[in-house]
Amino acid sequence: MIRLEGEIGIADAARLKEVLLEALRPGAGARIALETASSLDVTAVQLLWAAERAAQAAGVPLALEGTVPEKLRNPLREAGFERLPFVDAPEPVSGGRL
Amino acid sequence: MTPGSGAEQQFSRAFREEARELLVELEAVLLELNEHREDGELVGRVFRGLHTIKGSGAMFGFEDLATFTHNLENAFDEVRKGRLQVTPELVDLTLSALDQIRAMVEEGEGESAVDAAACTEILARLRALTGVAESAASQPAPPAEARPAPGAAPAGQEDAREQAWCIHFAPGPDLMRNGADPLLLLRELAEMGRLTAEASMAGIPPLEALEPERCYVSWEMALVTQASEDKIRDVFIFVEDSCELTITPVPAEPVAGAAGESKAIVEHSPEPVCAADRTARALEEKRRSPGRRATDQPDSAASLRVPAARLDQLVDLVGEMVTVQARLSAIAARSADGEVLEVSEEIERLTSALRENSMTLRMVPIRATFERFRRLVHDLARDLGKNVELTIEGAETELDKTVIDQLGDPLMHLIRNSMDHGIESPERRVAEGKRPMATIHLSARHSGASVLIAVSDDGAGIDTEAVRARAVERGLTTADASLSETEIYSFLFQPGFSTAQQVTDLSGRGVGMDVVRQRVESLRGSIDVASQRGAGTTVTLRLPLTLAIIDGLLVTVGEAFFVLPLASTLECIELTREESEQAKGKHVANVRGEIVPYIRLRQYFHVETAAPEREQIMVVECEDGRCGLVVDQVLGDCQTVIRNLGRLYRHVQVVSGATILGNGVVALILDPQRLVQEAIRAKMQRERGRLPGAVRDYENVRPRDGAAAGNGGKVGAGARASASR
Repeated sequence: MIRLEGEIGIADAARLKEVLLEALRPGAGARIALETASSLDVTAVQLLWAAERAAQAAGVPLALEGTVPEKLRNPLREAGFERLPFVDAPEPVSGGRL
Repeated sequence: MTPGSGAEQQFSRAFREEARELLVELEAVLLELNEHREDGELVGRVFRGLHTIKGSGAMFGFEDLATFTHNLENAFDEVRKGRLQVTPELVDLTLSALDQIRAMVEEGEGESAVDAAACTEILARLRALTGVAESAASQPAPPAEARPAPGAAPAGQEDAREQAWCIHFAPGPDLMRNGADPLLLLRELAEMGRLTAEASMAGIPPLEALEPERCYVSWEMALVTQASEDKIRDVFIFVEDSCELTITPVPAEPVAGAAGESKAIVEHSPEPVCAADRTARALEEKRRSPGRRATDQPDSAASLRVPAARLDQLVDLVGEMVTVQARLSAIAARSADGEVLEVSEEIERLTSALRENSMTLRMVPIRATFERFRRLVHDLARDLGKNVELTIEGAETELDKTVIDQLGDPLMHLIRNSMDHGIESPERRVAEGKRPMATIHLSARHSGASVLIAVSDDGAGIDTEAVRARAVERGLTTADASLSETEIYSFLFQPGFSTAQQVTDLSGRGVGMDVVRQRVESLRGSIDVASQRGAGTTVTLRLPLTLAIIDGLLVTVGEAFFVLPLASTLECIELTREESEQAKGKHVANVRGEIVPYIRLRQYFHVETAAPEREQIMVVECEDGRCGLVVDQVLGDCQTVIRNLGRLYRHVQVVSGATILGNGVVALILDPQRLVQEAIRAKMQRERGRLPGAVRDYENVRPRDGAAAGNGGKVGAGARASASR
């Protein structure tokens, strides 16, 4: 389980990438909790997006854990990230796509 | 996963550094604007500078600064729109505001304190000027960039009609690494009207290949707003160089129900194809193209900020290396091993290159130091009721940073002195048939291993009689002494010497010029004054290019070793005993038909051993023309690390330092310029009979005729004329 907490910004990007790569090893997989994140910046969104596609291509399970707070989704929606499932879904829930 | 405080500190430090540079630039642009009040480009530069300070200030948590600057920026926005005129009052007000901004920038560093009362007053006066309410200081500053001040003139007055814009925004790869956040920019756009954005993820590479801190996303946006294109572009002002940005108006169609329609615009706009690499390529091309804006930030990819202390450390190490290499060369030369010699030569070559390279690292143009004085001249002129313009020449001349750092004070004192004592009131200037606008000219140029920095004014010139009278009064000379102009001017640099009738805030205490002399001497430099009554004064500082290492020629006199700076050494000619006897005791040599006077270092330094049959005359170029220095032997060239002689010897001017040779022996580094001047001075003093017998024998040392003209005939010509016989 990967839990993102607080403001996730460029300073966290390198670490987030490592964690995601780790989760995508063959046979691995992870759930990502965004419930406790207060904001995501562009670098975090890029990483989640790339991870989701890599997981699909490799058949590794990668899914949401818990809900995604509106406070996190709104700014991303306004910034045009509507294609991201966790932004777009009416009510993201555990097990939903990232 | 929150950013560590270390990173935050690093960003604040970067902001501070950037803000300091921007403030200096802003000050210069403002003063230029004061002289060309109709210049829209200058207004734009001031506006953009303020905007950048505000934007990055807010981004790094300097909220008070951002709010304060925002009000200033608003005022210049009014100017830009032609609703406000540039007046001296606005310029002065903005200058004092910049002082407060500077204080805010430094506040965290525990330096200058912000004057809250002054800030309030500045804002009140700004309000009075612009008729625009200030944005409440208590209200949190906008997150990143512009947000209209509450109560600002409604934008509707200007561009009442809404317009739809198509905006393509592709951040460059380094945009986020440089501290900018595209989401904040988008939010700011959203505040200008109705924004519909669509992020393109097409450029995001597979996870493994993804550089985590690089921005791959680009945006296509539609914005319906009353704001002008300029206003939209201003949002991106801070990042314009590191992104691809196109803003195109959408042909007038009904825009009333904008939200849905703007969505349609996005959908109709060409499919975003902005892969991140293409953006990077486009940016690269943009960088290379010559048409960059004048306000460009330094290219972050091509330059690097390094603390000066680290460079100093590097230069020190290189200095040590040069010394050790000299030892190695000496050992290798003695050894019969060809391989050792080969390696030693290779190391010599590399050390030389390393030395030159590390030296250039510390060379910086003098521009910033010069530009800083625009403000001083402006403020002093206002306070003194004089009209003065500052002209600058040779600002690109490069000098060692350690020299430049110590130049500020002496130049300030010279300029203050010129403004206060030299330059007359406009009325008096007119009465004397001069332009009411006086000029102070700052110039810099290279001259051999030195840099000449001159402060000239077209004021009243130095009243030599007044200086002499004051010197007699203070017991520095006698009333009947016959003094050259140079000698009279030298009194000006005595501690506590002033001819001013009254002490003003600026000068007249006789402190400034003494500071100039001390500082210049500590830099191994010299001062030359030239002045003409009624026409003006020029003070020229001759400073070494660098303080650390020089190329020299190693020579011997008896057992002693000396180093002569290579840059001032022209040639070496032989002097046989027969020739010197033929000269009948006169110390002159005939160099291809030119008579060159020389100084015997053997006599000068009281070297007791007998002179060899054949001696060498090192012909050096100095301000007084060509002169010879007679030595026993020339050993060859050497890279020399200059070491100070210490306090005890600081009055020994003919020696500029010492160095340790490869064999461990200490050699003195001579200053030919000083040697020659000293010889001339001693000779003249003796001719006037004031120093009978005490002076060593330089009987025939004198510069060639017309030597003064060799210096352009401008600087110091009057002062040196008396030095020629």
